[in-house]
Amino acid sequence: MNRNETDWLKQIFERLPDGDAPSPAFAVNVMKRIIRDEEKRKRRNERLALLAVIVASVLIIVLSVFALRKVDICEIKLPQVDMASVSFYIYIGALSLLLLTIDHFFCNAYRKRHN
Amino acid sequence: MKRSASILLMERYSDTYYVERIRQGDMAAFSCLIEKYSRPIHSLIFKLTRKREDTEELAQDVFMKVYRNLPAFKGACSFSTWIYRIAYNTAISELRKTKREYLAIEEAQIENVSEEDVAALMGRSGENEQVRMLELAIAKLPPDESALILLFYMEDKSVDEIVQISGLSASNVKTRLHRIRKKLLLIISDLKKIEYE
Repeated sequence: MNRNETDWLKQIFERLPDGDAPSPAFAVNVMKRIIRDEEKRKRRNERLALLAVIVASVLIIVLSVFALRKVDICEIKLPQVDMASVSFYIYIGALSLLLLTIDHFFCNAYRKRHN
Repeated sequence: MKRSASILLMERYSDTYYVERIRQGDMAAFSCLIEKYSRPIHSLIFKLTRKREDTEELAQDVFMKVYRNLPAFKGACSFSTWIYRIAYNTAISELRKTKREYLAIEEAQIENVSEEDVAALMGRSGENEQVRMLELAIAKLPPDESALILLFYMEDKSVDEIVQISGLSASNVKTRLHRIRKKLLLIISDLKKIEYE
């Protein structure tokens, strides 16, 4: 298909409006979106990595106990759980988890303020 | 020695240089590409979609896709062709979301349209009227057809460049451009007839 300079249709096409220029903050807005996207991706990867480590660790522990009991390398005696002190252990565990969570939030807040 | 230094200087600021810098983790290099291509991409999106209010957001989407897919860019075509291809596909997807009725025109009607007659009809109208008629006619074309004809006439892209942007074969592009032109003439002729009635 030929596109001559005297093509009347082409001349009308050239008169179609071009539209406005992008806003002055266009590049800044795109970079902000990219940075947000990158941060989301990084957090998602961190969570996935943590999950993978937890799953792998639990798997290793379970397999080890299973293997050791089956193979009978050494006599594994599971400790008798003293039911009376279970509630105390749960209390200590919950307290530790709460303190770790509070510490995590404070660390995040500190990082956000100083970044 | 001087020649190689000037070549290095040119290469330093080429798209390839910035792409390499971005791949090495230099995000700031991407803002240089944005500065270079924001105007043409913004203009292309507007020309293809004719939606002023959505153009800026769509142009941002184009650059987001460019950044995410940069690791997959192998350099088989130039970076500008590649970014145009992304913009073209983004615009087409956006146009397809708008459920519109497009004219179904028979082949016989397209072949019978007389270019001279339509040119004479348009010649009787003022410049603004001609632009308005053409805009109305383009709006009646399916998204991929309007995109092709706009790339050819407004963006002055060659057939080879349109092949790389659209992914169609050269013969397909040429056939379609010929057909779309005829279709446009037929639509303009019909619009003019409706006006005179």
